[in-house]
Amino acid sequence: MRCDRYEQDLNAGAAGGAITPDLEAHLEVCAACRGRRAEKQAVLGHIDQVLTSHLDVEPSPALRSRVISRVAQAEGKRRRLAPWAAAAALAAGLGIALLAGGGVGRHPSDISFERGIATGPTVPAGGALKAERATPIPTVPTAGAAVTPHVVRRRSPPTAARPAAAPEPEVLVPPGQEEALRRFVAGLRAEPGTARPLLRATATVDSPVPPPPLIHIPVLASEPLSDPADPLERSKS
Amino acid sequence: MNEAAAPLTGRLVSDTPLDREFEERLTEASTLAFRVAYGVLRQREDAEDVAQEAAVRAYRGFTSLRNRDQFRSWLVRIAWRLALDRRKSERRRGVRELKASTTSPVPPNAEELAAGRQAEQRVWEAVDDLPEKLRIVVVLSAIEGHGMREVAALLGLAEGTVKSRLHEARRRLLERLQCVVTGTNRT
Repeated sequence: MRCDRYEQDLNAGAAGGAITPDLEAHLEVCAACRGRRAEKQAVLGHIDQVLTSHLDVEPSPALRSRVISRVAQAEGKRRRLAPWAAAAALAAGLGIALLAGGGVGRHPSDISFERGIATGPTVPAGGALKAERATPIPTVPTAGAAVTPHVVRRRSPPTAARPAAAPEPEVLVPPGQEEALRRFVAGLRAEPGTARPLLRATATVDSPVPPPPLIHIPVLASEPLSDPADPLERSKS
Repeated sequence: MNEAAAPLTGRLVSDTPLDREFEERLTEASTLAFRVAYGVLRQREDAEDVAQEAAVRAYRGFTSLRNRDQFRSWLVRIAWRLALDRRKSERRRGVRELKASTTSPVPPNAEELAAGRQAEQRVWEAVDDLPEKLRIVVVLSAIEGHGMREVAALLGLAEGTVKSRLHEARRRLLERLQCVVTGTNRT
């Protein structure tokens, strides 16, 4: 009888699997296969012995302190990171706020704030972004626009940003408005806290600027030239 | 767990209840993590490095561990994964060095297998070649006398799954290593 066909079953049985009735009957009559089964079990016993003995290993005593120091180091890093992360988040938030408020959609009135004086006109939406920094005080209101009296307010700058002994900031003044601004600043110094109007309003919402007079353009009498290629002209003729 | 095993931890920097709990659980499970790493790497220093790293990672994620009773199996799996990663990187380096040295591997034979250390090396090579899910079952079964129920608990598997995997792993190991005793008694 050839025993090779029991090879797989012998392996499975030695490895802990179920023994088929066919193999069981064969083992009862085949001493060679019983011997092979014993050898396979010995091989597995050897494997188990190698693995068990190798893995019954103790960590070195120095590992204790190493693990402590590593975990403590990680803990220390985490704790040091916490205030740093909070400061970074705050800085990032401030940066975003500055970008959102000052970079893209910043009102022209805020542009001059960085220079010490802010203007507060209500600027039409279409012209807000096109307003030039050199003309922060418009003198001629635009017809049809929401117009408010132009007042130059002096905001108190942040104390931390500018020391008390710092010179007055430069202010861009439109041509012809130097005297008005000078009077305004002098008034502020004389009566701090009460800002007087820098400019007198020339128009308000209640008294809008009258529309310009209409220009009468007389209609010219003209006679179109006849086109011989036009089928309508040909049909007339 | 082997009670005689020296605990790997001492006192941490802080003394919060959470840290104390972590320390207690780490003390109970860290030797097992070391042995699991050793089962992959077979180098004490490397296994200790992995055990340390596993402890650090476990510490970082301890607050997010929902079931703290599973800390032991969690740490074991971290150590297992770290050890495998380390082994892979070492093998890549080894392959480069092997290519550089252009040495050919010695073919296995019965004499080598019969000779103590060589035989052990063959066994470990066969274990290393097992698929990962079979390999971890073999390693955990060989550590600290774990039974199938304990291995199943450590791996979060059903006991029947562990049993079938262990059987399959042993069958493969047997087929790989039976050249030690077979070949002469066939009829």
